[in-house]
Amino acid sequence: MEEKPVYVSKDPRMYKYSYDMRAVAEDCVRCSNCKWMDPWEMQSKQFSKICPMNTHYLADAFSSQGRMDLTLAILDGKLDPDDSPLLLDIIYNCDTCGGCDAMCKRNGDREVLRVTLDLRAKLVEDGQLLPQHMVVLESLRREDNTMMGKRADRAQWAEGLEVKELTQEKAEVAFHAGCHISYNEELWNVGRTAVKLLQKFGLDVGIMGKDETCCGCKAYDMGYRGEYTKYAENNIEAWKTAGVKTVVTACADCYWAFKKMYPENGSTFEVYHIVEYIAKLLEEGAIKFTNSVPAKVTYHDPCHLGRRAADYIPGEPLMGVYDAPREILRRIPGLTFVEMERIKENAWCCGAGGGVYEAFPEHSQWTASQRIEEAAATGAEAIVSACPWCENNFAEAAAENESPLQVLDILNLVDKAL
Amino acid sequence: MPIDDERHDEILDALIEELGEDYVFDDPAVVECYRREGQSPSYTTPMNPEFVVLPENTEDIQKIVRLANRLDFPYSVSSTGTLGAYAAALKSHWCWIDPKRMNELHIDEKNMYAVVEPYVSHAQVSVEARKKGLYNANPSAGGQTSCLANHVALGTQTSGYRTGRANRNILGLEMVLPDGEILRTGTLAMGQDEFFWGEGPGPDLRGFVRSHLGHLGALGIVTKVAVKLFPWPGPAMLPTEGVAPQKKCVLPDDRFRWHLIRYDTTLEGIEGLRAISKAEIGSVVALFGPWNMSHHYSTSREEHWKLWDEGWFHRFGYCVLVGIWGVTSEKQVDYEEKVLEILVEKTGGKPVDKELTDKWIPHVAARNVIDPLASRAQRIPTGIPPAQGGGIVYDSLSDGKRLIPDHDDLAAWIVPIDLGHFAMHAVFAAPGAGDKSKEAEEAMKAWQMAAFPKILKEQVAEAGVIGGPLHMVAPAFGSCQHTMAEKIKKALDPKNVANPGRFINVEAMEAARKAAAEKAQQEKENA
Repeated sequence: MEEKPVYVSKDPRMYKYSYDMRAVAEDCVRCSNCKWMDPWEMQSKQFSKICPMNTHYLADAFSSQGRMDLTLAILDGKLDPDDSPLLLDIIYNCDTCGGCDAMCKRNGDREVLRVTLDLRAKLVEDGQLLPQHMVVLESLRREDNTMMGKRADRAQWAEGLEVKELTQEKAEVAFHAGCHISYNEELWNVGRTAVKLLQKFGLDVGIMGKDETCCGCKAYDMGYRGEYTKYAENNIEAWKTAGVKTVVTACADCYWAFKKMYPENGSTFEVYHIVEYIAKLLEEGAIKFTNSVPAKVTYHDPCHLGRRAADYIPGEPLMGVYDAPREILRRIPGLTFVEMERIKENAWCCGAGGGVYEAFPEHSQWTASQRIEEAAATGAEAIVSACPWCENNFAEAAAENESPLQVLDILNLVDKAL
Repeated sequence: MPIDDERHDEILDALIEELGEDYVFDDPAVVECYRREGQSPSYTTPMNPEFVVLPENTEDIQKIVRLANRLDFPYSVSSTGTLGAYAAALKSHWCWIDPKRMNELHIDEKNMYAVVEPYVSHAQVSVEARKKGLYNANPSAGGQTSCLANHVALGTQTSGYRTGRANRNILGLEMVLPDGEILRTGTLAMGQDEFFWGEGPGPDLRGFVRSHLGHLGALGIVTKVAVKLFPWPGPAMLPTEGVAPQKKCVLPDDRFRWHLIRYDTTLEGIEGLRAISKAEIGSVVALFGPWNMSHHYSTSREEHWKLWDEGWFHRFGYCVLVGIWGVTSEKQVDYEEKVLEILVEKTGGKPVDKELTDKWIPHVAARNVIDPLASRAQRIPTGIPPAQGGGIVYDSLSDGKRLIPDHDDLAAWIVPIDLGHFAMHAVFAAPGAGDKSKEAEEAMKAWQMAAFPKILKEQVAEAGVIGGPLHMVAPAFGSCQHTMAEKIKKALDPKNVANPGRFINVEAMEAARKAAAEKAQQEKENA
């Protein structure tokens, strides 16, 4: 038997993965793994799919595999939104959760989510805009947030909090609340608790207050790269000016933007989601939970904190921030923590990402309802997460479905336990 | 065909009237996504279907088929679409039936079978069956593929050595014939609502869904099938560790043992397979060439080539995998291992060294339970080189055609089925990254025709896979199956609307006969 190949391919892609939009799309073999969770981890027929879009709409176009076909058709000039009333809807109805990407990577080194995001950017660049996005874009351009709120009202969540304003004073740590926490009164408590905890942990923390702007994540996921870049550069500059070394957030979208994307825009800040920080302190013994919190809860992995937060190195595990929140919940006295069937890299999305919450509210709510059902099936009293977008969407879905399930942010439990 | 032509509109309106507008698509973006998959020849398939429809149940399928006959439009069916090449459109006004709404699963624990509709995946059956101490065999194509589809087409499964060809494990079935009549077999035909028995009086109509590739929807659409389940000696939930793609699953050692046995040539490996088969030990038995050992294990191109350059995969040689499952007891495991040891020595095999098995087995072996990730083979653009030891890596099918005849040993993957009474030898190839031309497709077909008689003659007793309609394949092997198949096809599908051109291309046969007759007439006149 020969030890080496007698004829070696001249194709460099044979030997080493490198990203090319067309090549990745061509490499799609239509295996359909992008629609299903990992079969090894499957626990029931009912909760076995990973792609909300394909599960809801069924036709193959509504899937990552479909988007690979559409990418090639668009790049080849075969298909244009003028030819197809559904084309833009199909491409934008994906919440960019990355489930397809994670499952595809079980099989091979392909970045299918990146193709979808690049496709959106191309369409935006070509002027093929989804009308439903315009209200978000308008809100960003006028008021620097995605929530249609007034810039002047941005800091209302922090009223009465004794915390440094980074436009006036320097601080080592910037807490970034994010658009959702800033403008959703139901979630102000999450931001306030986060700041108080960071102060309790002895950190020199400040906030940008009403001068805080969007992180740019949603704009990026929707294909508006120019908008994203604007916010990235603005935030990086603002933090530098304020002498910040570390950025902490309680929002998964913001975390993803700061940790994964901002380095490409020159950021050198350390970035933590607050759950990482709390888990670190627990591990070091710097803090301890002393109060019992008798409840049965389950935890939802936000996509931007989970599989989307993984650095992609071909072959390496898709490690997002899975363990930190679980470690926190396990250490809370009196708390019973039960897992849902689809967790970590197999987590079912909340339905709020990628501009879907804004542009396709019915599908967004349907997606969240599926997750509420899955959470309820564990017997938990509450679904806990670490992202305001997830929590808001679950709260709306639970109300719509008259579910008794409570929706909590993990900081609500941490605050009670400390 | 322009989608605003009158016939298109007539068919569209009729489909919408039957199924509702939410489940009928002719949007160019939707139909574009029903055109290709990673296996030749679909890379060169030129057409989109004009319609994609999503029926909810057997009655909906019946409505579509009756419409197709009335309005004379062709249709095909494919659910997960893994073998989408065989459903891709070949003609105008093609309707792709996507049965994703048909996803009912029912497990009869006592009688050990599962009734599945088209869009129930192997993994779904597997997890529900394991909860009841049962196991369903699954194909290399993966846990996400349709359980029904695998049982009626291709039908090779990782445990096929023990559990047999999938299409022999069908009990009762229900299908819609090309004229719209609903056929139910076995106990279902006796007026009962039970699937447990598949045979009925007279000829076994399950013959419709037998043969190696099945009829690909050309003789009807199977809407429900009962598939046999087998005893499962393992845990309900698989014990996994880690995060994708670096995931492990180590099944309990008292009931599951995996052995990798090295042989220096394919023929020696085949003798090993024969000996093991005769002794009737093992639950999963297969022979892999070194390249296969790679694609099952490696999670990236870099990893594959690093291990290749280290000589890792050549240390596997031609590797016979034996999975011993203690289905009856732990004693069965001990006994079979002792027998295996004797057979390995007798046939000149050697255990693959422990360093390799300790790495390979935890990541790969349990994939023979569910989800073998065969699609990993297609990560690297040129797929699996079929030649000696995986010694050739080629850029195009044309290169393959040129290089392969110089190499005698065409091992890739050999699976004994039914305890060795049947075997499948699969030689995989995929076009290179830049090679998706019509010429490449022709080169692939020509290579198949050239290579397989050689394999038949020299290496294994049974035929390999030929992906082509019967009228092309059968004459090459001297059989008359195509003439019989033509008669059956014409009887069942007189309008030739059920996936025309696949299974058997009656139009091509008619055209060939007509051309031959004209030629004979011309020659007669000239004479």
